[in-house]
Amino acid sequence: MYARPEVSGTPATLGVSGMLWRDALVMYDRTTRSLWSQIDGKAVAGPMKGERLAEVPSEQTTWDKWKRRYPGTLVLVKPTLPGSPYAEYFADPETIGVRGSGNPDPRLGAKELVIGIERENQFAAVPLGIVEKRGAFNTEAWGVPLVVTKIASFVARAGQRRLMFDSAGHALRDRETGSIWSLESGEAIDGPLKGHRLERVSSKIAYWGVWARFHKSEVLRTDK
Amino acid sequence: MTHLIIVTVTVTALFALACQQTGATLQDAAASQSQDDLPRVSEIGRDPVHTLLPPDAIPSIDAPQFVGAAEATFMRDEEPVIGIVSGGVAKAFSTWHLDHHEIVNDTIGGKPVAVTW
Repeated sequence: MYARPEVSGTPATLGVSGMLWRDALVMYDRTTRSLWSQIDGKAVAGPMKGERLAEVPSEQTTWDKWKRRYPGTLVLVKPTLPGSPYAEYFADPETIGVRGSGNPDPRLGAKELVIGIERENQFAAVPLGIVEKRGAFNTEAWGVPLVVTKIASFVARAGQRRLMFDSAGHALRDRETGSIWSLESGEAIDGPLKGHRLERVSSKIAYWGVWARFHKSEVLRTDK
Repeated sequence: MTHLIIVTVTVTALFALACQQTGATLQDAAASQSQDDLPRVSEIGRDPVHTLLPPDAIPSIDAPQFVGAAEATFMRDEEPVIGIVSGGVAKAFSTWHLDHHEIVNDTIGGKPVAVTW
């Protein structure tokens, strides 16, 4: 999920360009007609080239879990169209995308879901199952301590101090001080570190087969 | 198995399906937009750009309609959703639904966002 690009203070709408790049959707904005790569939010052609859409934290879950957590939630009304076209797609674990480009990196299965992480043009991926099991996965990539969750990921440092985190509902709790950190803003909202803010790193759920095609990544599997 | 269907990345098999599903309207779209003014690119970096459909052959949702959970009898419990909380507003988007549109242009809690699939 991305913040829509603003042109002269007015948010543009995004449309489907009909193009594929690296087996992923290319979007366009209806104000400047620039092309945007869906997978990393970068403008790849047109007047906005070089710009990047800000990511908005979102979460993938199931409807029953979501509505139990947010009873006041709204849900998008369905149009009257036939059912999911993906049955066939999911039945074929070795093929990614319409062009069938296979698995670019056998360290993980092409259809394995990962949390793909990016910071300063460095990339890493964590198998989603590891993160789901722990809630908050404490690890390191490129020598930087990280805490990875399904919703958002952060550099696990407040100032110079390394922190380890546990999941605490829709927030994180650090083991060192017990402070509570918002997953949305990265800010400590309660406890001794209240007011500190963690540096957010870009993170999103992706198929390994697509992510690996795009990014040379460390694969993170161990708690550190 | 469940996490096979909890996906956030763009799953491009849709393009092939859209070719079948949009049928007649696709030809119209191709005719009316053959002069489309999107940048023409055949390659970015060293990777090819494939043009498979005219712009908007897969229509984004630009005026999304929402209902509360009690009214959402069309939703199945196990249905995968993308959820967002912003400005005190929680919204869910069924990814089965997004299969047909790929992009929802919305404003959530005052923030203009694009839900992409």
